[in-house]
Amino acid sequence: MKKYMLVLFSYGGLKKINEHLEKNIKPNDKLLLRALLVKEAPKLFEHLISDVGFLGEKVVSDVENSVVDIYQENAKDYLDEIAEMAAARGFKLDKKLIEEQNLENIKKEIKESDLDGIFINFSHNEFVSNQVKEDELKKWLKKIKLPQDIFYDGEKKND
Amino acid sequence: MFKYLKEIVKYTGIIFFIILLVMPTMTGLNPAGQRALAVFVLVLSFWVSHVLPLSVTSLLGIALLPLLNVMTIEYTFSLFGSKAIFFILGALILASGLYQTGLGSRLAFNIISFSGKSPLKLLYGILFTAAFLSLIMPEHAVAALLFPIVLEIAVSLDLKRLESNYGKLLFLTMAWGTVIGGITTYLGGARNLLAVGLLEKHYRISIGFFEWIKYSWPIPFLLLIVFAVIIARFAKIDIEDTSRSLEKLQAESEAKGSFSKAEKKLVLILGSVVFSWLFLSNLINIAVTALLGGVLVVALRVVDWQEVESYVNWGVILMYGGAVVVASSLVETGVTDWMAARFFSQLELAPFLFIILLAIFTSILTEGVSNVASVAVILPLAFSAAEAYNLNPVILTLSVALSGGLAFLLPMGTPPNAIAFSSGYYQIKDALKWGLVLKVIGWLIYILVARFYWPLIGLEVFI
Repeated sequence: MKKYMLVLFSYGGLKKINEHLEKNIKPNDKLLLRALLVKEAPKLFEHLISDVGFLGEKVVSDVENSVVDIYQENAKDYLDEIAEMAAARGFKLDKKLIEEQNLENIKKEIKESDLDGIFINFSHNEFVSNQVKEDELKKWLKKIKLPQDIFYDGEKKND
Repeated sequence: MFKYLKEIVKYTGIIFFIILLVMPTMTGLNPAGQRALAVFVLVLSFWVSHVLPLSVTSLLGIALLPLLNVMTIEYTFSLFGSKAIFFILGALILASGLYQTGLGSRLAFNIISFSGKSPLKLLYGILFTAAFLSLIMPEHAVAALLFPIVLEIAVSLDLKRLESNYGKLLFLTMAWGTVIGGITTYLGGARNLLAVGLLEKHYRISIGFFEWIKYSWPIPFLLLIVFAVIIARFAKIDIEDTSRSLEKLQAESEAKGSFSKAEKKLVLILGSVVFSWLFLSNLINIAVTALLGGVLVVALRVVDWQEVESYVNWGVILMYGGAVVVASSLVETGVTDWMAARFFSQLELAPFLFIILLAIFTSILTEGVSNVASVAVILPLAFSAAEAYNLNPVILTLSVALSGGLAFLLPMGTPPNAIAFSSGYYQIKDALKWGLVLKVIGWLIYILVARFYWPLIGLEVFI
C-alpha cells in the first residue's frame, strides 16, 4: 500500500489530474487530498484598484466575491467527484479543505505522513494563485527530496 | 520575465531622467523643454513599470514640473482643470447609478435572455450586450457587471475550467465585446475624451459627442461583425444546448420585478443627458451636461453619495489630470516642435504610412500599458509629427485614441481582460491566439476607415 498526497492550488485542468491519479493510484493505496479554499484574490484586487483598473472598491469586491465563490464551489464539487472515484477504484481517501495561511500545517503533514509521492496542481493565473507560496513550497519540497509531480492547471511540468 | 522587464524599464527611466537633467541642453531645445522631457521619460517609465500606482505617478509628474521650473506652479495646476476631467467625473457618477440601481444588470439580463437555447446565439447575446452597454458606461464597469452573469452561465452549464472551449469563448466574448464597444463613445473609454482634451488644448479644435461617434462607429461595427463571423465559422463550440442557463437567466430577470423608482428616474436623467450631448452641445458643453447629470443622480436620490464613492475610484481623476498636465508640458515648452524638426522631418516615410504605423504602435503599447497612459504618451509625439508632415491633428487624435483602446491580448492591458482572466476559464495563450487575429483585423479595418471613410466625411489626412 502506497500513500500519496494531492494538493490543489488550482481547479483548472482537473481532467488531466484525474487521469494522472487513475494511472498512479492502485486499489488499497491511500490518497490525502488537500484542496485550497481561496478566500480572497489580492492580486486581482490590487490590479483592478490601482494598476490599470481604477474600479471603485464596491465594484472590485463584487468581482472578487464572484471569483472566490466560484473557486469555493469548484473545491467542494471536486472533493465529491474524487470521493466517487475513490469508491469506484477502491483506494482510500482522506480529503480536507485547507486555507492558504495554513501552509505550515501542510508542510508538517507532508513530513509526518511518510508519503511515497506528492502531486501538486498550481496555476499560472496570478490573479487567483499566490506565487510567493508556490516558490516557497517548491523550494521546500526540493529540500526534503520527496518524489513529486508538479502540474500547472493540469499540465505536467516537473523541474 | 515581466518582473525583470519592469525593473529594467524603471531604472532606464530613472537614469535617463538624471542624464537629461544634468547634461547640457540639446541643440534646438530650451532648458525648460529638456527638463520637461526628463519628467516625461520618468513618468512614462513609471507608468509602464507600475512602480507606483498610476495615479501617484501622475501626481509625481505634476509636482516635478513646477519644482524643476518647467512651468509656473499656477499654470501647471490650472492644466489639471481641463473639460475632459470634469466630463469624466460626471460620467463616472452617472455610471455609478447604472451599476448601483441594477439598471445595468437588468438591461444585460434582458438582452442576453433573448438569445434562446442556441450556444452560438448566447455568445452573440453576450457580445452585443457587452458592446451596447459600453456605449453608455465605462467598459471596465460593464465587464464587472457582466462577469457574475457570465460566471453563472458557465456554472449552470457545468463548464469545466480550462477544459471547456465554450467556457473560454464566453469570457473572451464578454471582455472583447466591452473593449470593442468602448471605443465608440466618450462614455465607454474616457481615454477618448482625454485625447480630445489634448487636441483642444493644443490646436483649439474640439470634437463633439456626436462627431466622435460619426468618426469612430465603423471600426467597432465592422470588428463586431467580423468577430461574430469568426465565432460562427472557426470557433469550436463544444456544447449543444444552453437551455439550462437560459432558464436561470429568465428566472433572475423575472426576480428583478418591474422597474424601481430609482431606475425610472435614472432612465429619465440618462435620456436627457444623452439628448443634450447629441443635440444641444452647441448650447451646453458636454462636460457641463455630464456634471449636471451627476448632480441630478444624487439630488433625485437615485443613489446616495456614499454609494457613488464606493463605486468611483477617484484615482482615475488624478491619473487623467496628471496625463493632461505632463503631455501638455511637452507642447508648452516646445519639445514637440523640437522632436518634429529633429526626428520626424528626417524620416522618409509616406505620411499615410506614418499614421498607420502610429496606430499599430499604439495598439501594441496598449497591451502592456494602461490605455490612458498609452494615449498620454503617444499623442504629444503624434502632434510633433502633425507639425512636421502637415497632418490633420484630428486624424492623429483618432488614430491614437481608437487604437489605444483595442487591447485584446493580455490581462494587464485593460480591466475587462483582467476581469475575464480571473475567471480561470482560459489561459493567456487562448487570448493570444484569438486576440492576435482580432488585432490584425482591427488594423486592417482601421486602415480602410482612415483611407476611405474619413475622407468621405470630410476628414482629410493633410491640413
